[in-house]
Amino acid sequence: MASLITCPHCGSRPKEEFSIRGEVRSRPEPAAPFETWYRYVYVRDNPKGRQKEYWHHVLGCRRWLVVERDTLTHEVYGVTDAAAYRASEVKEAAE
Amino acid sequence: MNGPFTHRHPLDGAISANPGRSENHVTVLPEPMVLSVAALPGEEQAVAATLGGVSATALKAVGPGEWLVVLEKADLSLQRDIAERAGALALVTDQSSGRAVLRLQGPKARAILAKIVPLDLHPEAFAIGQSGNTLFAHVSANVGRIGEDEFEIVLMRSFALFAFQELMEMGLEFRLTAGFAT
Repeated sequence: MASLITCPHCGSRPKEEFSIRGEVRSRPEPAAPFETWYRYVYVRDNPKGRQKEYWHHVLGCRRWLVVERDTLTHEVYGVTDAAAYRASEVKEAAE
Repeated sequence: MNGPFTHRHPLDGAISANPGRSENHVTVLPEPMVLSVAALPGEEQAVAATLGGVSATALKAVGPGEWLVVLEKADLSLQRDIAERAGALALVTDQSSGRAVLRLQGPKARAILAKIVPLDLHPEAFAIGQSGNTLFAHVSANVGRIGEDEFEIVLMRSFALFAFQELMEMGLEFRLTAGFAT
């Protein structure tokens, strides 16, 4: 199992330097129905396979990152700064 | 008469008064100056430009738009200079009494450090002047290369004793010695 995460700011670092927050999901609108909010807060898909997660580089640059990895093999497909990820998401939504 | 806030180094008492000195040695800076510079959003490059006057080995990378300026002794003119030039673009905070600075030097410095930090310390991957926050034993520290066989470790004052003891234990096989800088 590869345990190295390539932080876009710090380079290759072991997973021990990070804290994992969980799956990346987009926040519902404030007025979204109760059921949507309930799913957002409490329900997790927990897929066996590819997933995007929030990782916090606690012992490094202290930035939030979005790590796309395979939960089964821990193959890492990509690491982005969460702010950059969010900006690209907002941009995509606007287009 | 001593006031209630007398300066006391976290490693006072942990280092013998007359330490021997082998070729591998830890120099503890008794009164270093540590400034934290954190750029305001969008000002990262402008702040980096104002720090151009700080020597490469004194400027530590912490994260994007965040640095530590670490000097052996207080340099008030440099501190004023940084505050003046970067003050409007960044938050400049004096961290001197909150951090401890250890300098590890000697032919086995890299071998000793490699047992404690996960960084790739090969000179090609970690050149003189390079630095970063990383895992040091079990705590967070900023580790930088300041010479071919010399590394500087900057960490929270309260972690200093633990980190120091860990470092000395890892250096045992290489007869690592330690003392305050004079």
